[in-house]
Amino acid sequence: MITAIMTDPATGKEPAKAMEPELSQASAATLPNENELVTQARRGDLAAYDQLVQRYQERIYRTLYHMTSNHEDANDLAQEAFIKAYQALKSFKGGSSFYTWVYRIAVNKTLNFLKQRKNRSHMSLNDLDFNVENNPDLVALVSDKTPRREAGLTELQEKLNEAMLTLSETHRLVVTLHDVQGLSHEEIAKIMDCNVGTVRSRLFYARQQLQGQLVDYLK
Amino acid sequence: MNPDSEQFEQLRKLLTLKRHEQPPPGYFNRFSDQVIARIKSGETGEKEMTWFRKLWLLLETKPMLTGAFGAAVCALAISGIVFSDDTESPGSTAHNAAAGLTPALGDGMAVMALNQGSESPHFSSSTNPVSPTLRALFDQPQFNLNNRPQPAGFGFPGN
Repeated sequence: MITAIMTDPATGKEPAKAMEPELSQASAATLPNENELVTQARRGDLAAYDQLVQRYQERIYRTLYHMTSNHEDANDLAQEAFIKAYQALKSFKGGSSFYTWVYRIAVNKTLNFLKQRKNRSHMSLNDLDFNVENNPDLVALVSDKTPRREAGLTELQEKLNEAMLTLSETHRLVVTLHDVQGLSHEEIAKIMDCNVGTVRSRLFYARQQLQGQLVDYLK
Repeated sequence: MNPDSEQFEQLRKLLTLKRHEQPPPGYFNRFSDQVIARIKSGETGEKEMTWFRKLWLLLETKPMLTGAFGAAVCALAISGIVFSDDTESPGSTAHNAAAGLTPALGDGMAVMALNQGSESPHFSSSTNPVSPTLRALFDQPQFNLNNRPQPAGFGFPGN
């Protein structure tokens, strides 16, 4: 399931692998089954729910962060999404995976939040990690722009986030889930409750918009 | 490779930058504890909002509703102005009545009487708290400065 989500059908690569929880086969085998944890959490077992939160917190937080470009907002929304999911756990039918279900709660919460926040959007960006210096694609993109590579990456980060914020919420979500988080079109369609064709067309339009805005930074 | 991916290959490379944005160190170690603590404290995951805040957010997010609300406020203001003009416009009866009062009240009071509404002379739309009738009392000279007591002079025929 997770492997299917992480594989990009367009390229066959795993674009977000570095950011996902690293689950080796051995550790995955010892981890409790998701359904078991959900069943236990439904009975009020907070330790079981704690494990579910730990399992998906990173992916949920990162998606919300990329949607809001604001760490504090993403933190609040992610926590509230997990709290709301726990309260609504009894209504979870199991038609989809818990992961998709909680993702949908978080995404809907964020879309509502962004509609309300429209007039007061400001960025609170996280720092770039040290690995960014080892990304040859990014280094190549900024090396021609400025002799000071570090300053170039920070500037690029700001411009990229500004461009993302100009997209509509649904278009930003599709780009975030696919190009940043690495979810498949099918998985995005489930989360957004729409068909795959809609996901593809939104992705194409969003990329066009971004490309137009970031043309100075693209060779 | 998908032609879409070729077209947007540079953009996809640029977007990988976002994967390098990291929250503060140790953030994810505390995250689940905070969630569980909030669940234990009985939070529902929904922020409480006042009715005014809810209305404001509704107006902020629904342009059609905002327009309708604005139109309703304008209509209310216009109707208020029109209604106010109706009550302030002098009727013929009022003019006649004011004309009858003129000799008794003097020129100043005649003008004031003309400005009175036709419904009742006691309810004025003026913001002046002093009733015209009372003002008439103040307008009347209460005493004449020229009528000061004069010292009586007693002349003696011999002086």
